[in-house]
Amino acid sequence: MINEAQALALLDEVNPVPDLESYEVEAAEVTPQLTTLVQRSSEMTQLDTRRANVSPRPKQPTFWVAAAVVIVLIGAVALLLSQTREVAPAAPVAPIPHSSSSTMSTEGVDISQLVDVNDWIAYQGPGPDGTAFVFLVHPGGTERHKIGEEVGASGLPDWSPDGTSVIFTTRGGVTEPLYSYDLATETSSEVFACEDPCVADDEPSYSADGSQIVFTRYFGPIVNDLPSDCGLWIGNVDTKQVTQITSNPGCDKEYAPRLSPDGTTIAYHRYDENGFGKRTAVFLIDVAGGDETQLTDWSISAAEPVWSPDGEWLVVSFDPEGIDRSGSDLHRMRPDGSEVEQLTFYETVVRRPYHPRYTPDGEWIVYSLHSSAGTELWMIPAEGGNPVALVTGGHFVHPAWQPTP
Amino acid sequence: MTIADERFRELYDSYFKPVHAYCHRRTEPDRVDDATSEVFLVAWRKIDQVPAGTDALPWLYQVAYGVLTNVWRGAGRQTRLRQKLDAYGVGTAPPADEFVVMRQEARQILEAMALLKASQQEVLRLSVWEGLSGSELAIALDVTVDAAKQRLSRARRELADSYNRLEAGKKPSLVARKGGAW
Repeated sequence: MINEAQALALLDEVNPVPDLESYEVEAAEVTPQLTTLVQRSSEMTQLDTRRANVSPRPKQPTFWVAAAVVIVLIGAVALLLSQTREVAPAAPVAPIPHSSSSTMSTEGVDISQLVDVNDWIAYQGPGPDGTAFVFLVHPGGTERHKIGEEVGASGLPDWSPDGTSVIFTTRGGVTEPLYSYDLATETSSEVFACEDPCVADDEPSYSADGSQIVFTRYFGPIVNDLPSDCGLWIGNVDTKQVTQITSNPGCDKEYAPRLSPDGTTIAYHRYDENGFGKRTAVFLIDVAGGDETQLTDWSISAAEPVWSPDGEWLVVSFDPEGIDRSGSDLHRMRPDGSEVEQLTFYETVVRRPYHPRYTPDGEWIVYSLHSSAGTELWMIPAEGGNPVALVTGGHFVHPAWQPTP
Repeated sequence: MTIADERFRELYDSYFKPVHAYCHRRTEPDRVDDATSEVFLVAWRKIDQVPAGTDALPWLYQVAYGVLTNVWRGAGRQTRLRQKLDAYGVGTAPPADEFVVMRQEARQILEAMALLKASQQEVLRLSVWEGLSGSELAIALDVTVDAAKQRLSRARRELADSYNRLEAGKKPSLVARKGGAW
């Protein structure tokens, strides 16, 4: 049940042009043409006035000629403007040849001076029909290409710590197991068996040493279109043995789990089932299970915690879904919830940073920046600072930076 | 340049963008430019009737609504409306984006909107998307301020009711994986 205010808030959320300020149709750009138009129409009006002194009849036809000119010229101007407007996400990405590379960000920053532009960023993006796939792209946007296509729809990528493979989740099929894509052989293979009653595995993330993968698992039977149980699991990469950590009957489960660098603690977020169904909070749990510890208040709607490589910080998205309409930003905090620091300062709901991940060296935080123009990849220094655009002009979510192989 | 010319240019410079956005919010991308041009053509024809000051914008919205209504009527309104809803995910698979819960609710609010009368949909959009006040709504809807407020109040209530009726009748989906970060 929602009330009127919540319904209006939702309606506001789906506004196709949420922010007029950033709606890139500049009337100022057409002023010269409009001036010409008005001058011409003015001349016509003066001519009409002179004619009117002789006879009142010609005024109307001449006026319609002027009106026709208005239509044609305004239409032409609008058409011209439409060539440069950015109001919709860009078309699905296609492979881009390396020769088209540019390491200059939209702010004129040379990315190659900051990071290794030969690294790969794995991300989730839309295919031609909107189906999600995992892609690789270099910082700067070059050599984008799909990986693991043969296993169907895919997403939520994470790199193996040695940088040689990408693990990802899949959609479709009788069950939906995790897959791993090997960069050397360009082939994908199932990671853990997902057999009855398992119906799907999801949201995989490697441990720092690469020996384990934490993920969420869904159990059948499906009742009212929902799995009967969902929870956190951890699997051994070599032995393929998996171990259940938590159980959530009804599938009110943990999301986006990440293992601490020392392998002892899992950070994640979950939804407040007592609220409007969208508020989230960040939790910690011991890798052996037990009671969970809530780190953030529900009112913040914090989500997507990620550990710094040294384990000293957790970077968290505050209100990534824009629930409060007061702004979404990345923050960092100590693993005990103390020393909360704001890292990005968009402070608006129309440009929302989320899906943060540290670069392997811990120097940068890469994230997706959502706006009416699409969802771009950006990064900021790990301590906070000026954002730098990495890949723009498309829809890039769940970025993960390749560790040096 | 005549006073009317100056007035028109002022109008165009000031309000081209919001009028374009208004059309963008309500019709297909390939119709937005034409519709915007038509709005300003009407403004040119009726320049003497355009209210002064900021009241001009809701007046332009009223014109734009008429222009778009004619567009829909001419092309088959229901088909157009469906296409527009589809563009926001209603009746189609959700885009490969981040939070499925948000998309489900967004889709559901659009579905709930589509079940309201056209006049109720418009007053809601004008209030929420264009951010019009009561007096501005009155100009845009060509009714009294009291009538505009009453129409908005009723539409708000009906929107929430419509959403909740949909909510009561829907089943959760495994594919969506409630709240998943897909």
